[in-house]
Amino acid sequence: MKNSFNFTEDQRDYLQEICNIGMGQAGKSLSVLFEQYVTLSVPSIEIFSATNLMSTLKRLIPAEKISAVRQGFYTHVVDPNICGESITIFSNTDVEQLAQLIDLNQEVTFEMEQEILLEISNIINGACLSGIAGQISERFFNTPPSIIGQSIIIENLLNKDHLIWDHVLSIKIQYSVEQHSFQCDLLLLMPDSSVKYLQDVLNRLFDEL
Amino acid sequence: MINKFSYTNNVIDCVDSGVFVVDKDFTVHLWNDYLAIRCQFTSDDIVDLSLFDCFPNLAQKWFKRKIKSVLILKSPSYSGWEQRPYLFKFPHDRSVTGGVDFMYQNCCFTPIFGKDNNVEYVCVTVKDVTDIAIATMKLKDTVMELKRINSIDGLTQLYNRSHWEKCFRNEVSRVNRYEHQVSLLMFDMDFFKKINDRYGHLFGDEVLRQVAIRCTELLRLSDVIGRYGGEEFCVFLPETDLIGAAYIAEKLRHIISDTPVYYNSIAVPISVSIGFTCSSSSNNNYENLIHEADTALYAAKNSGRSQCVSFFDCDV
Repeated sequence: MKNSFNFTEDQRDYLQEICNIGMGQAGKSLSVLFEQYVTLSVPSIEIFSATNLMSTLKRLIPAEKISAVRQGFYTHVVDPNICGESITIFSNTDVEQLAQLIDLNQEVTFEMEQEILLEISNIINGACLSGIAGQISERFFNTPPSIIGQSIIIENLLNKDHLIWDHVLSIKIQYSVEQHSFQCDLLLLMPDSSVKYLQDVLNRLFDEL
Repeated sequence: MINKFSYTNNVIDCVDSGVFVVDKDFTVHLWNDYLAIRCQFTSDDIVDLSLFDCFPNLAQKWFKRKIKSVLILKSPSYSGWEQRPYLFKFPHDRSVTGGVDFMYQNCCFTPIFGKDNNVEYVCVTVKDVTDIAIATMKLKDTVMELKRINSIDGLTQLYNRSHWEKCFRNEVSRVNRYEHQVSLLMFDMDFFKKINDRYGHLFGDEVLRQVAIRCTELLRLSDVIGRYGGEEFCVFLPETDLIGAAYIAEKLRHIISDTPVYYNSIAVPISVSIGFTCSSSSNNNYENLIHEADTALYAAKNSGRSQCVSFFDCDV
């Protein structure tokens, strides 16, 4: 499994290309939905091992306290399949600003704060995945979002004592919205078992070039 | 995808969840039996009508936002009972045992694509999660109650030692970070053993309860009091200097000892010895402050009890 995890340079370049185009489209649809300009960073792709989990996460998300929402995504292909998780991470985010983004102009209660986090995460995640799916002529299915925690430290993002994978492919995308001091990060994470599928897809697309 | 099974349309009525379909103008195009038997509209009644006309109490703005995001992003949207209890206010099957008067619902808004890969309709499913909601809410209540019990001293209803220590540690680190001040008082009932021996432990317990009530009445909301052990209590006073601490200590001593506690009709006088200290740049850690207040408390005991002593007046 570990050997198959090494992407060839071609595969990596191609994946980067796909993500770049995908994010361009995601940015477009988010701008339409939010009716203002949404900027997405160039996705940064990396592979890290379970042993480096915490140091990698801290480097990717250098914030003291975060709020995080997770969602599963998968394809209809069973073997090999993609079964990954996307985590939307809000750090130092003003919830009132987020509320304005989805046209909520009332006082934000605790339940509403959760609803806003879930809603924005789902929107961002949906836009990104359909952006990428469009590029590889696939369809991703989602599971409903759920909150991992509000104002938690990054160590509590996942159960680091019971990891069932050796390596993870991570695609990190940063979002910012022009008129709001709003920034968040989306991490698309895929464990070892999902990468084979992705490699097959990349090989197929590469052969078609 | 052509479905050869000729009863597909009936299947939608067999699904044990609400399923309906609207277009971008919120006109209903499909309405399954699950929904029909829970509201006044059958499929024949509602199809081709506007959803909002039929359900004027629906959270319109929210619903429109959901549909809009599905249309634009071409990907599903969700809503969960914890944030929004229901889409339609339906009755549920636990009308007797549930203790809630509506069905908690999780909803899913899924795009249905037309020929040109645009979203033509949105399919909404409504799932009954009342059982899960009731269980989760019960669990939350239980966890809250356990947290409370875990931090409270059963006899006096003040914070117990471990919880108070946690609060004080946090306060000390906050004081260090922001260069603020905190004062610490420790006090002990005078001759408590004698009271116990003479009037019994039940009366001793009553004395401790009375002391707790008197202190709580006097202290400010920001002051944090706990039962340190036996007949010993501790209070920290955020943003309070030594002069303020001396003032509060004296007031505490008075409110405790000015009124006796009654055993049947016998007035039993009680008194208290208090030691206090205040944070400064040189002593500012948890152990030092506790040690200083403790030292002052012993000095108060040794110089005749029923008095307040500052650590800075002690001969160390």
